[in-house]
Amino acid sequence: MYAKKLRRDAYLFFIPGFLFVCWFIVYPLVQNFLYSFYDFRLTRLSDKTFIGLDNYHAIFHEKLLWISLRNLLYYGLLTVPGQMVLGFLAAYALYRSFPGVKFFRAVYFVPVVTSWVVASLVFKFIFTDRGFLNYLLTDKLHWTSAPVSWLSTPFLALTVLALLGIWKGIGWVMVLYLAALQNVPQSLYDAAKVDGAGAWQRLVHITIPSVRQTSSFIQVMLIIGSFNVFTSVMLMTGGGPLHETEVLLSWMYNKAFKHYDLGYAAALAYLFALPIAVLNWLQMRRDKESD
Amino acid sequence: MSARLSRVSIGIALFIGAAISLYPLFFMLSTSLQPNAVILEYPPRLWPSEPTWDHYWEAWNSQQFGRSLLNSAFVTVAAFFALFALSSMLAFAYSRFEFRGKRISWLVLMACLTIPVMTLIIPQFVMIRDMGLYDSYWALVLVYTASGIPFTTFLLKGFFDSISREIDESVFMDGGSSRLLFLRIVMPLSKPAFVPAIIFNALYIWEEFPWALTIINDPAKRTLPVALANFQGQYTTQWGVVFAGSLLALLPILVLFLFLQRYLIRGMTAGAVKG
Amino acid sequence: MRNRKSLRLIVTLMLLALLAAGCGNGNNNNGQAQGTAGASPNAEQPAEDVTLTFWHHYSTASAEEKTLKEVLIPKFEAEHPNIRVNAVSFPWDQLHQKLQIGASAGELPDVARLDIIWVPELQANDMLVALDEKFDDFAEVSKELLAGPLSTAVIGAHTYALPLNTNTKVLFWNEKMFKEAGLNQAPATMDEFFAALPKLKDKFPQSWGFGEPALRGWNVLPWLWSNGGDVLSPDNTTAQGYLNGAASVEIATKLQQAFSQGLITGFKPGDTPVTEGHAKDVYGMMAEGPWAFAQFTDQFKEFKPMAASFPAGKGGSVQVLGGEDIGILSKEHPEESWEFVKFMVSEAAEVEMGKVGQIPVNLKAMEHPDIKAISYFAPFLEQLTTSKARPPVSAWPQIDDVLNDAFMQIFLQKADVQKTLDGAAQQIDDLLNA
Repeated sequence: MYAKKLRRDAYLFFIPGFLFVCWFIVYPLVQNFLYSFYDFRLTRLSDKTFIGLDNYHAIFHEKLLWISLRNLLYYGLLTVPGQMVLGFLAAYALYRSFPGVKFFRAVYFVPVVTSWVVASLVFKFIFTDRGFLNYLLTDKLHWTSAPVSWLSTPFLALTVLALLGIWKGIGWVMVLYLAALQNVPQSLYDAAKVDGAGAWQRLVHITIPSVRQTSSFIQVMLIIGSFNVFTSVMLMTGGGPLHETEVLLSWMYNKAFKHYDLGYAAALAYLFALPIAVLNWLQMRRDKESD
Repeated sequence: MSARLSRVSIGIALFIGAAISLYPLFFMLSTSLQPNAVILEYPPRLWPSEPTWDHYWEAWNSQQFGRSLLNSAFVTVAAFFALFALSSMLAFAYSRFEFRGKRISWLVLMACLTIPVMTLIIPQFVMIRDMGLYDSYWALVLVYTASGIPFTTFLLKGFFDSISREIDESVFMDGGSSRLLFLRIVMPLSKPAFVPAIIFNALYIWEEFPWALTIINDPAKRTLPVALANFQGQYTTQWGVVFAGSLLALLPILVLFLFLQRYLIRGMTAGAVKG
Repeated sequence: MRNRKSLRLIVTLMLLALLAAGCGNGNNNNGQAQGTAGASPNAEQPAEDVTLTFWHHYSTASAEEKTLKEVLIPKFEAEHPNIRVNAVSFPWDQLHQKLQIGASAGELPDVARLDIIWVPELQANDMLVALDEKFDDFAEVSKELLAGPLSTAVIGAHTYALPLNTNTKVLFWNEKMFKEAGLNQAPATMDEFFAALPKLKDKFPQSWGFGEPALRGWNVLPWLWSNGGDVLSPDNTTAQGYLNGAASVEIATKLQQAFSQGLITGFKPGDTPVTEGHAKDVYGMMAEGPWAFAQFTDQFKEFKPMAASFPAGKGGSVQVLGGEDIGILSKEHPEESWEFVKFMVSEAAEVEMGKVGQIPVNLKAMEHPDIKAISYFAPFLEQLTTSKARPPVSAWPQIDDVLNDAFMQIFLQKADVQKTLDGAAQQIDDLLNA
């Protein structure tokens, strides 16, 4: 009986926000797609030439494509499980209340609050050749005979970047899991106890399955997050040495704002953003179906 | 016996985790209190023998630091209120109404959620330039607002969905409008969900770096992350000043978080992501 | 109940912050930024006030920036009550980038301090005002300045900037480390230099004999030149036979060996910054500009820097010529900008900047007793007599990248020197012929 009026109301609520998103996200998304077929320079924005697939062609002949793909994969493989496992463990240890639990929850969330710029600068300083970590490893623990060149060895530099990502993300994952764990009905545990299930069995057979949906949400968000890695790369290694630590966004940013090649950068953005959007979309669909 | 042992080891693990979480902050504090001449000394010192506050004064006085702090606060608050208003309305529409295009627009919104925002930096740059908003607060506020909407809508819709629809019926029965339902019923009941929305958006906007770096020149309009990154010179970095500035920048958001953190988990619990 | 109270408190706090920020911004939205918010001494001036934006790359919180902000600009503003100057500091590479982005966004400063190697590129993009064409008193002003640095801003028939300061690098040596290693003086020749490195390492195993902060042309060219090599042929048409010639390969191989033995470093991410490290006995030697002295007096008062000519090889002691120009990009206020440019190259301003390590190019300033009294300028002035400028080719920024990548490969990946330089020479030739 209210249907007609309600539909009008619906648009009043719906349109402002959705228009805004279309204006600043969807429209740029389309623009980006169009730019990727042009020779489009930052130094002369007013005239661009259509060059078809040349930008994509150039990207596939660039060694950096494989380097940045490899780096993103490595970064993702370390940070996504790293954050999930450690974040879950923190939540599992802290979801029941005991004296001091609030302190630990707050402390574990502090890295989330620390900005990427600040965190990158600190990590850079800790991992310099004559930094605190090398002092500990070389002069105190004698695990290494000479200082380790963390930031100039590509593989180690990527590992440091991943450690920063994990350090910064654990708290966020913990909060999501804390929320989920509090929704697991106590009755399930009680029943399991009656059946004589141990702590480990309860964890594996009750807790983990009960938070499956949260896990999958976290996983999607973390994969997106790992594709977003930029500030730490730019401030800690600048993509160097020799572009060995370059990731998608640092490469794209340099192409756009150092080499002024906007068309090339737009093509890059598409090449990376599209598969990850599809991947995440599939994941979300699968969750829905399995519900 | 074994239960006690495992409790002790969990306790130890928790303390180690806490130490790792806090160590970089401690490290910043200790470095920021050391005179320049001491910072690069080897072996590094854990705590300065003669702490000095000089770097704090230097950080505060250079780069118009106080100004950047206000800029960040202004941009964060303005963008947050804008995106919160738009997102809550949008979430309300999705949660309570049926309308044409609902499904497809929701898919579009969720697709926006999965795209790394920074890949849009080029068209957004061109657009902002064409609008004549390069090097202005608008450039920051508009883009931050739009970027925050998909996630916030997602978060709030989850919470709104958990509010019983029987209330809707009774409101309409009594002749109430949907505006009344939104402002007087659904929003007040959803307060716990505001906390995660505030924390995540405030964090994102407060620390956003690449866009602000690209679009802002005027030091009077710089936000904190840009001001901080500027302390890092081409060949030299004054670490003491950098970390003094970093701690000053961290303080407001840390205080905000400490205020809100006890409501955070409740907001998430009832919110979008159910176990 | 408490819940609601805290929420309300936070909202109030946020609104207050919003209000405070909002007020601060009210007087600042006409595109031209003002200096420090609110506290301008000229607040009573009539409406035709002009605010100039000046972009520069004096490092943040450095002695130069302090002189600019605390001495020069107040003095200029006192002399020109209707002009205010808003000085904006960027890191060196960001300034270059911001100028390019600003050009396409239509947001350029009125005046900018430019590395001499940027001037041809900016002029090609039509960003700089031709000073000799626009201003009648140009000849009077320019004849006060050194001819060599002035020539860096001449492109074709016109002059697009004025020189602001000149510089080159000399060899700094850490006296304490040298003495302890049994060395008495700075190495005068390349052979002495390479002989000194292991001696320093033996005595200071945790340190390095020499620090080089990067591997671009600015860093690499002095080594090639002093050993009789080069990057490009004298007519700047090819790198074949020069960058990969015997003299260049020889010195690159020696440096590669020294790096692999842990005798030199400084350019890797994670290395201790070179200038600070030199003062803290991390690097026995370094090649740096006069600003290093200013940095030492500012931050490392107890360190006594020692400078000498860059070690001479088969090609002599040849360092790279650097320096900055000051140019006008203003469309709206060229006259006021010109006033500021003239002020910055005037004797008084050049003397003040000289005191913090910027070698003046104003003839009178160079003869000023305060400048004469700066003893550390002596080795630089001597080195300047043999310094060479980087090749004035428009592809230089890209060539710089090629050099950096080639030498990074040689050092970090232990790449074959001849092969790597062959490849780099080919790439450079491609750039030159593009």
